[in-house]
Amino acid sequence: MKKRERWKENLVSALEVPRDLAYRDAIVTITGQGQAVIENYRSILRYTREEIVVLTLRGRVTICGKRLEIPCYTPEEMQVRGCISGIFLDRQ
Amino acid sequence: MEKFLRYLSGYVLVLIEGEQTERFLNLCRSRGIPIRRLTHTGEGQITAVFTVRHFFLLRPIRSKTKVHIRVLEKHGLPFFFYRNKKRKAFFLGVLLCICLMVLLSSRIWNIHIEGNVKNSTPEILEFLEAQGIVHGLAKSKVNCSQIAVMVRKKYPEITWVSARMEGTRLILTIQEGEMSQETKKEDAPCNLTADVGGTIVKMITRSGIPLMNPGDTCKKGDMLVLGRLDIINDSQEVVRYEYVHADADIYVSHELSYYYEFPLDYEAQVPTGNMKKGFYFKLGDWCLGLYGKRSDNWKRTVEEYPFRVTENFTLPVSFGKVTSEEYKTIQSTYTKEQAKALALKRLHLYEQKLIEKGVQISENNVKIEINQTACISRGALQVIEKTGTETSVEQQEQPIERTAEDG
Repeated sequence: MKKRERWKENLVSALEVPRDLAYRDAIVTITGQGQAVIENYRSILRYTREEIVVLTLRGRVTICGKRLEIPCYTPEEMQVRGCISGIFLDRQ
Repeated sequence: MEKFLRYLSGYVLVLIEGEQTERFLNLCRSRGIPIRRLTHTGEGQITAVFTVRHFFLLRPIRSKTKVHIRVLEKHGLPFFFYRNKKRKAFFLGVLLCICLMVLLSSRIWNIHIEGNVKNSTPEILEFLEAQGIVHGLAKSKVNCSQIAVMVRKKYPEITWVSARMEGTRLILTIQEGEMSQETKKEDAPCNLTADVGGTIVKMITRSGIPLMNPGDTCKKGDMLVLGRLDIINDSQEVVRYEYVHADADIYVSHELSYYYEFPLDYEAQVPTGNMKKGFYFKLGDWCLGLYGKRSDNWKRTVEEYPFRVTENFTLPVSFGKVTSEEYKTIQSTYTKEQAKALALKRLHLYEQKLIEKGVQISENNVKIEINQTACISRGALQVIEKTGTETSVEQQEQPIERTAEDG
């Protein structure tokens, strides 16, 4: 199994395929402290004004802050706005 | 743009209450329902914005997640129409507005002419009007190439015309060439004669035979340069005559008498300070004036502002401002200084006019005299001006050429 994974990783790096396409890794784009955009996510696990927990294919992304809102929530991306204090990534 | 489209299709702000709000959101995502302005308002409570179309897709998700959905606000055009369905006049107005827009946008409302210098815009507009190209003409009746041809035919000095329509504008771009001036026949033989009498101070002859020299005195009508050349042979006999276009710069100094008299008593109009303002409104020949009639001792100044729809489209409607100022007539007399200053001003104006004509003033012998009743300026100005009028050359019979046999 590990061998197969390594082979795939080698192929991806050799072909220079972006990881978000090859592994559907989540992309988190932060603009200042007020806005973050998450792409390649699966679902929302928890949503409160202080914390948003998003499940991705390879783990969880937790956004902490104050007055967090989601101005745009579409199948492709999720925009988070508010006073963001931290973003944590948990690998599964 | 997205906001505008959302407004057109209508959208609702809803409150979603329940224990499985996150699941509700995930189901929406999996079914491709976009959510806007998602806000957590309390424990198990979120507000979100859905378009009307997507709102009606929420029913199965709601029953699955057992959340409660309550509509808080409705926005957008469908709701606006629904709320105002009783206001028939409003919708009639909107319909009328659309109809008017369609109707008006199919006509020409601005005729713009650019690039013209020698032919004025009003002149070209007048010509176009005579040809039926007027403001308000249907666009379908406008034939741009025909207009260009008509303008070119009418104005031969216009070398290039482009007529094009941009929206409700008809744009005429013109290029004017050099005016085909009546080219003076430079070759036409002529003499130069004096049009003023005096002493010649300077003479530069380019073609022809000068008959006078600087320092000579000439009278009006005297020939100064002859346009006939006598070709002589070695025996100093005239073989033939050749005629040329005489060309020379001849400057003549002569005296110009000056006389100006004005009375010392005069009537002065002194404003009293009373001023009245009024307005008027003009529609065609009909005029509505909002100003009182004044007696004789009032000066009236009128400023008229015609209403324009576009730069060249003037409506027969105008607005005018009338300013009436009262004055009183008093009999007054110039003092000696005033009279002298006035006479000098007049003389300077006269000199200025002469200088503008290209005349040089070499001496000023004008004297100002003031008597009991009038101020008289009299004297003469010594001026130097260019002279030389082209006159026809008397054609002489060519001399008979002598041959060896004749000799």
